[in-house]
Amino acid sequence: MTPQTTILTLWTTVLIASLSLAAEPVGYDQQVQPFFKAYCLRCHDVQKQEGKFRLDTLPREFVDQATAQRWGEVVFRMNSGEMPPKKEPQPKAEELGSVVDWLSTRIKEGESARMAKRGPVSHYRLSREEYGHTILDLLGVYLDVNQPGMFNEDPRWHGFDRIGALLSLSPSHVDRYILAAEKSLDLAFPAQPTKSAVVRRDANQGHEKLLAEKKITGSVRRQVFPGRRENWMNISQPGNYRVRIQLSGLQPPQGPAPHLSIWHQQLKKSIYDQDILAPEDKPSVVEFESALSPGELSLINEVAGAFKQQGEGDHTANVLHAGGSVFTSTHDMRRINPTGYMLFTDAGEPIYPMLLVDWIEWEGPIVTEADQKKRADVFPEKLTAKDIDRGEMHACLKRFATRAWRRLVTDAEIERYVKIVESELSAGEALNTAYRAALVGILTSKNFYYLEEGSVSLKRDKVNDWELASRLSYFLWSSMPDGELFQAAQAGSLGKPEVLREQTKRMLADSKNRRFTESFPKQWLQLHRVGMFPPDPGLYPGYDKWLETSMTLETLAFFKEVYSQNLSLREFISSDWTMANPRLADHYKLTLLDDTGLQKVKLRHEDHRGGLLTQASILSLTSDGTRHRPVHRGVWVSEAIFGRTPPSPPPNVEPLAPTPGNKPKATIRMQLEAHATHATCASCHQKIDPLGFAFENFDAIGGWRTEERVATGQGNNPPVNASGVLANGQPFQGPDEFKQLLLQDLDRFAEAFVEQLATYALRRVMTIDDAAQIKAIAAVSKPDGYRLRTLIENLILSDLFQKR
Amino acid sequence: MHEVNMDHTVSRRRLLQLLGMIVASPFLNDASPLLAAETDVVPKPGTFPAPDVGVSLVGELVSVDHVNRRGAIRLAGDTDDSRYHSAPSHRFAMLPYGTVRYHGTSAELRDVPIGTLLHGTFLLPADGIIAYPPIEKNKSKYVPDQTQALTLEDDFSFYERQGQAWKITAVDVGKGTLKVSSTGQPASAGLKGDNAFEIDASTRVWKGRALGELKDLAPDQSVQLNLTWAPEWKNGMFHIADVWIDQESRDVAREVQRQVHIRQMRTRWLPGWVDHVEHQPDGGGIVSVTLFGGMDQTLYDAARAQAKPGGGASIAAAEWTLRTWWQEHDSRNGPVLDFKDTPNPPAGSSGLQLRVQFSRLLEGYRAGRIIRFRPNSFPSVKLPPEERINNLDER
Repeated sequence: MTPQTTILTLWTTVLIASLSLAAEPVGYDQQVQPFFKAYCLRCHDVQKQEGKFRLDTLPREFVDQATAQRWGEVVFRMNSGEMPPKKEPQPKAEELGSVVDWLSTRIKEGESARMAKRGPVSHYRLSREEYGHTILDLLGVYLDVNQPGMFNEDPRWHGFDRIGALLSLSPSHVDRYILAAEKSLDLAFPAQPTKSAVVRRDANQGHEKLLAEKKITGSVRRQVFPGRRENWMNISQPGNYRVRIQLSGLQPPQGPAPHLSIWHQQLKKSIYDQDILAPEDKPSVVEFESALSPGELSLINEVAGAFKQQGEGDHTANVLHAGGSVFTSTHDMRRINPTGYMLFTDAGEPIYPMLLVDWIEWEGPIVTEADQKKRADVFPEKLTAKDIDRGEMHACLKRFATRAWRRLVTDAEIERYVKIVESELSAGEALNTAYRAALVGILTSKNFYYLEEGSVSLKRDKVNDWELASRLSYFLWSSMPDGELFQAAQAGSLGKPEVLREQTKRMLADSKNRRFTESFPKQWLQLHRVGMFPPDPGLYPGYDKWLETSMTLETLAFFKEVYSQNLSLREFISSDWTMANPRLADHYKLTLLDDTGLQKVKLRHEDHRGGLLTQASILSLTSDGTRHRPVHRGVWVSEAIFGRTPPSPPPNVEPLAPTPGNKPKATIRMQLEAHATHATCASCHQKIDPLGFAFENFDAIGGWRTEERVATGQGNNPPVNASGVLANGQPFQGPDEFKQLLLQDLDRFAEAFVEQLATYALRRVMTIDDAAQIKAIAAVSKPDGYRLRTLIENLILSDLFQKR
Repeated sequence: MHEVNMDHTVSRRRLLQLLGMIVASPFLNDASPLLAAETDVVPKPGTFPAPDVGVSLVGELVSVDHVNRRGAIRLAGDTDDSRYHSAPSHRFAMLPYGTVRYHGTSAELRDVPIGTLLHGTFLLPADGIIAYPPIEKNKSKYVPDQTQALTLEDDFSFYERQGQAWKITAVDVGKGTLKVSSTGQPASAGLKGDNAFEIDASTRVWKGRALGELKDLAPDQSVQLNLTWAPEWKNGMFHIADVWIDQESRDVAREVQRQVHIRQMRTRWLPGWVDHVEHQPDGGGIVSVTLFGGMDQTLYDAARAQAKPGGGASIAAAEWTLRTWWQEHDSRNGPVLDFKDTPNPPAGSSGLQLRVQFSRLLEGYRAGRIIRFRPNSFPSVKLPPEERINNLDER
């Protein structure tokens, strides 16, 4: 069966299937039927079908696609105020809200069930991130899957980009898989051996004669002021590189630290970011390793504020290192062109955050023995036109396919690829080229880019050991299993709890587990939305790319800290610490930090931080470019913390208009509250909005405030109101009390978190069929205080994890 | 910052030689103020010299590098035969606040024709500035160490400024002599009493608004003269290049030169230096500057007039020579916050200090650094290439 037909089968099955959800939903007779009878059926029953629509016979099988669509229409007509018509008796807001909520919930549940329903074989395409990791672990080469022309961004479901039902396959995907396979093999087996080299660019180079002539002591240092880009590095071969830079980082007395960003011109992204604090006379050496694609790399001092206008600073940059200008020290400004900006005071203090760069050195591509070992036996030993050992070729291809496809491979399957080699040879191709064609074939097989679970011939409820090995490795490593995991699968022992526990322990300790601690929180918390709407620089002049990056880094580091220390999930809700760097410390107005990197920072009550909810990443990803959006914040809390997705708003909702100039200034909340008085709006907003109002003290980029800056209207800026009442009637005053209420209901959060974790691990949406097992995993983790690693291990050892 | 010249002190031996030479000059036949003045003054960037310092020298302008405000004079003859035969000319550089006066008013070196006899005050090379002319180890004994010009004036300006004029006592066009006797308030130095000078058809006689003739010269006329080289210069003989025989002719000459000066300053901007910089957040600051002296008063008035709402000024970084880089492009503009006039300013200073607010400071806005100041009412034009600095080594 081709992947396309498999998917078609899958979807067809989903569409025609019915789940246990299809049984008469609870509460219909009590909540919905009386409402329909009072306000709807007079025009939509057996007697009369206004608009050719009959409501009384509409099935309550929400798992059916067509039926669910029709129920969606009903909700839409009621939400929009279209139904009941104005001339007819009107329901009370509470009545309407109750029915809309009931129906929306059923539809939502139906959606999950529909997506999760599967046939005998489930296919889960690798996300592009997983594809890259898999190639690295299979062949020991770095394939930049994000580079232009490689793979498109994967579709997301509430932040998760590995949901099998969404990762469909189109002809363009196949083209790109062929391209990716060829490129990966080119990298692994280049025509010419890869030569590693050390290249060094020194700021002093070429100035020796001038310094001697002018009797200037010291070495020339490159002054990099904010916003400047120095094009210093050129990477010609892809691969892993070790980069070293000697530089000083000078922070002005009242300003941010200078920030080093290494920018890839072609990929248009930063590959390294770090605040730099090193005295002028004690430069530090920054060192990092990174997988790099060919292209030019620039060194940027990326700091908010200064030199934002187009072209500003260009003249200074032009004259700073030209026309005989050289800089060696702030104590000797004799050879500095006077028409550029003053960068240091007479006392030698930096006026702007300054980087003084001495040299940059890059070494690579670095090829490790471990990488070479991964591809050591891919090609037969004897591969010359004169001496073809068909048996060895078959064995080699089988070995490679077994690893690439992550399962046992039959001889018949391999024979197809041996024939490819022979066919190519008969067409006159060289043996090497012919053999590569077979390798490309293996890597472009659906067996490689799909994770397959199930058997066509045998309906299974559980995954087998090979499938379990992949499920485990793609969960914890975002990549293929390693040799040891394969061995356990082949031995048929992986499903045993003690083996699974031992393998889990080993895998958590592996450096590849870093991929989980980065990927899962990004997807769970939807961090891809950070910076999606860059804030208006007029309103938020302090916002820059580094702050944006730092926001995400904080959240990822926070998650990693909870993970590595095996702390409780409670920390996600409330904590007396966070992970901050100087840029964030400045943004949060924390105590100044001495070190430049991310570090664990003790929080004071007056810092108003702690936990995930008050981190700038979360607060900004739910905002737009000009203002915070309490409703979006509420929706995010509902999804990420409670695991519930509120119904989508009806179309054509009027946007909030700016306060007229002749009216008193009003906060967004005040405007929303006016907006939400409409009965159809109020039913949803009453539940969503308080979850967002709790964070009214934080602006669109997560800065603390006590009043809201309002551009239009009369009078002073109004004070913010961060009070609210939860759906269960519990009131709160501000974010701290709100967090305390969440902590009181930690079981609920734990269950929601397990659901998120399982969605990531099992690559599918959880349904009501999974609810009991999710609850059980949370329950078994409770005695340990919901510690994160414990919870992950409990998930892996659960029935749910092995459920197909 | 400028490079340091460590070798600027005048040896006692050289000073004695210098004084010997000066005492022998016909221009020092009166009690010389030099004898009481401090002659070995080393100028310091950011500080105007004290009153009555330096040495007074008189000589004929023999070369000019007007872009860099440098030149050379042949010191007036003192009957020394050896000097007459072999002494090199005295190369000099104008101090940034050094002033030139010509035809009784403000001028630039470029306005003064070669051959004009000039009266000047000179100081030693400045501290921390590359010396021009370069200090020579084995230079001629006839060349003083004081190479930095504080003032330069033609005869017209020198004598008229002090209230001294010349009364024609005899004219002999045939023999080519004009005899004069000093009149009015005697100048503190220079020629006095009865003197005879050469005249011929090259002598320009200025009469009213026009050029007159030699026959217009007549006894008892009160005149001003500009002298130039004569073959007998060794013994103090001069030729008359120009003679203004009436008040109107002198007023016309003065006014034309004043307008030349104003045009020059409006396009090249007013020189001064930075007194103080007050740093403000984000690279901004308030820069206090003092404009140099010797310019026409209307120019200072134009600067003062910008200290009002909506007013402003540009400041360009300049060098010791007063040259700028690309002034209209590289300067910054900001509001003039206020100004202050200090009465009786030292030589070189106008006494006018202005404070300008900038959103960004330039490297050249450091205390002691030379700037050019453009009130917003002045044009912002690009200077000819030869006047602009393009490389630090052209400073």
